[in-house]
Amino acid sequence: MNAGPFWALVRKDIMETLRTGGLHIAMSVLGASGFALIPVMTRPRPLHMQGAEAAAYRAALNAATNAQMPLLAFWIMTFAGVSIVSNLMTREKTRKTMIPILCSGVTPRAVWAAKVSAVFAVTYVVVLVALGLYIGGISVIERGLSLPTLKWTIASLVVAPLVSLASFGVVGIIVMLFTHAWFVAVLLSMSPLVLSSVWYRLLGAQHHARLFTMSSMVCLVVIATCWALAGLVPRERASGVLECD
Amino acid sequence: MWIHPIYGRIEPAGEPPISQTGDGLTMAEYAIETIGLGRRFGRIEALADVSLTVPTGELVGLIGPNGAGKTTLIMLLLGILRPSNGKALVLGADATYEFSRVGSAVGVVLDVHGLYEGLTALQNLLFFGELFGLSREAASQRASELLRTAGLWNRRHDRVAAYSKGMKQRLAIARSLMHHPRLLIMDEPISGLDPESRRATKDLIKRLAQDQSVTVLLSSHSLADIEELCSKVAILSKGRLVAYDTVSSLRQSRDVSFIRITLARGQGRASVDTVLASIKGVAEYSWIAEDTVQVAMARGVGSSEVLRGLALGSIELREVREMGNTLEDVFLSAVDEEKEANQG
Repeated sequence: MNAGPFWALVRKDIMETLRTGGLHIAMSVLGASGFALIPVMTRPRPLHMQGAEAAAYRAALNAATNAQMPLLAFWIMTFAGVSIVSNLMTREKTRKTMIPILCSGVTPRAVWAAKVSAVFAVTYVVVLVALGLYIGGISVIERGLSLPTLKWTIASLVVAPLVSLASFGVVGIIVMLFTHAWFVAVLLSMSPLVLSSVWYRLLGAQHHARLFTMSSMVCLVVIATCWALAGLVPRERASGVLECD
Repeated sequence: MWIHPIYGRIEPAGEPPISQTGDGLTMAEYAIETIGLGRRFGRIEALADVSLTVPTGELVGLIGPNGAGKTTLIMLLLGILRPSNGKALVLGADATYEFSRVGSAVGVVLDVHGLYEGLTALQNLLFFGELFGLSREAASQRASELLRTAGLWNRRHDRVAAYSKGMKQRLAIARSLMHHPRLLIMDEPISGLDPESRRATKDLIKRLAQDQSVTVLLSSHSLADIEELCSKVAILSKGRLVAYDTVSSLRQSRDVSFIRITLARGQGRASVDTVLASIKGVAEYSWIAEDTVQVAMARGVGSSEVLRGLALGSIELREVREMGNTLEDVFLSAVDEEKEANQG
């Protein structure tokens, strides 16, 4: 199989993401940072706390700071990425650029995979920068390097991105099939909110390792299902000729 | 090699480059063959039972009123839409199931240019070149060549959003030629162009068909352009193929042809009416100005017979123009017949 067309699509979608997705990314970083800064801002220890009480307070804050990191990654990637994926797909269909792409022999699956990959790559880099700034900020407050534990590092750099990738895949397929359907708007506005609420709730539970493993497995299954479904999307649906005239 | 005033240097085809990429398509007798092709959208029958063949190397026009099914037919040929009935063979391959093979040998220009306005002209061509399977170097070389020939070389780093409609159209045509297609399917490629670009584009289409044996299916509302460019014309009306023949055959197919006669000063209409009514072979006539009459002659009757009759009736003439049948007459008559048949 010639991978040239796929990488051409990915490169083009990365350029389009950077060109059109700046506002989505900026707003998501701002929102997520505001949330994540809460434990940072509460780091100064109340003056009346001494000894064991102060140590317990500090331990609780450290745990909260660590636990914020996957959320930070998840929020930035999902809130920004979902809207960018849907935006890229909708633009491709409504501006009739999808037709020449499909006429070149490229499959709807390749178009879907390229968009999801491009948005994932861009938002992942943004997350790396955001996490770097977050850790840097805490280290400044702590007056020493304050690295997260391995568990939270994996959750931030692997699990949260996988959850985001799964949501990109689902949204990409739905918008490819039904650009103008009313439920697409509902899905786009509600899904990050619902997903993040569930995620936040689950993070409060114990057995994080098992939770992260299960989450990752579910996400991989969702991504595989999306991949299979993308292969079944009819070209006439993907092209937009049925709904965009 | 041919040097065009706007498109510049057009390289001779030589060995068709597409065969070097191994598209796997055979040189079929017909570049396009549809067999009972039809497509419904819910209750609406957009295209019904269309069977036509476009011989390889021909330049065929596709005309029809708005909503006749031209774009639906083109989308079916490109494998974008699936047929409800029948099938479409493009370069010998089934357009619905072998779209990858078809795509590698077919160039497309649509009524909406479908270019990325946020990218530059060069980036657009490189992107599509790579989609067509060209290497980055080959795409770059071909893009440079086409940008020069399309007169866009100096603006190659400008975003397409800053281009005029004519420039976008020329870029869309350049894009369709990126992979040396064997078949060009063009939907309104000349609309919106200034006269110079219009002439250049028409010349380019002619040259591609004549010198490089590229088969062209050209859909247009401009009957004059179709008449000038195409050897054969297909007329669609309400989703049905109502006529498909060479332009000359279509023009001869009507039962009447016309001459327009301008009378010399002082000639009375009454005497002309009397003479025309007495000439055998005059199907009907109508006064289109005070001194000008348009005469419809039955099939097989020459204008000389009418002129002889007028001379015998001592009618003096100032000017005689053979009107014949234009493609517009044929088109309107075919569409009217289809309407009457549907109403009946």
